[in-house]
Amino acid sequence: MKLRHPWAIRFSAFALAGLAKGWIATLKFREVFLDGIVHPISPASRRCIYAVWHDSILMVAKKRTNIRFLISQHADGELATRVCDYFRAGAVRGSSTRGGASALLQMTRPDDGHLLITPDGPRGPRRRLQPGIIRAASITGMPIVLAAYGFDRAWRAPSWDRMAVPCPGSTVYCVVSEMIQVPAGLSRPAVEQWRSDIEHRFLEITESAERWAAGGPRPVVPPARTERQAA
Amino acid sequence: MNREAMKQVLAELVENETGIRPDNLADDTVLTEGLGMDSIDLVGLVVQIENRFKIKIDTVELRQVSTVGQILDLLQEKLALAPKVA
Repeated sequence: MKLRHPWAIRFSAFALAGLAKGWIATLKFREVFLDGIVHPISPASRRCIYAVWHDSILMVAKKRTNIRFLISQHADGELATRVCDYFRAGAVRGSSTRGGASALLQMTRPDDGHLLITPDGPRGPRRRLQPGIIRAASITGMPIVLAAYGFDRAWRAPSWDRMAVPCPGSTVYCVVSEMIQVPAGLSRPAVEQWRSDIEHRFLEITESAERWAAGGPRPVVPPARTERQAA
Repeated sequence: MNREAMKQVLAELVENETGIRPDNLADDTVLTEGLGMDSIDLVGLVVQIENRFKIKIDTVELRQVSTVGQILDLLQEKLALAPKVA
């Protein structure tokens, strides 16, 4: 069902945000930062493009920080934008399917916040990294940081992305990559090579997060960089 | 800078973006399909234009521009308003 009426969207956003806050409060989070830096870092020191697979997007509601979400320009995007308002997160409207150029141009502007992109959104294929995030990083100079999630107990929606909804009281496992700096002025062949490499890296850490959630080993962190268990 | 000179600079910037210098930039050439660019290439081109001409193109203006002629018109307008250095 598509919500069109502005008041219906506002009410739904309020209800969704309230529900999300209550539900997130029941979850336990365990995080590993592969470069030893606790993310998201202060945007005053370095702005980053954070990438989260579309199926794990609900998890970013846990973080209260200065971050802007790239959201679809479709009507569902309006609902998502309103929900972001309740979490005090900004939104950049536009996606690869409509208004992408305007959205990306907006992202190049100096800002005091990070950017969050679901690189397989808005319509997939699931966990296939689109080239837009590589070009965005190349144009803006912002490094890419990949955040992958595993869940010990979660319901999976019958959607194209199999959106994960962790069960209340369950534990969420997050593996965050090192900062990946994409060179400026990449040619098209180079963009595809970077896309492929970063997709491979993202799938690698996703597998490690899911394995960890299933009772497997904690992902390896370089010496002197310790795991932080977040409540 | 006259319109023809701007067109030459634009051709150079398109070549930086796509690797191919366009033969002829007619005013009605569509910026994306006509020049073999997608929307992301277009943003790369706009950022280059901004850096080269020392102007800013906002997102509303970008939505209104779809052809070579329109972007040249926008450039002329912005350069006419830009402060002149003695």
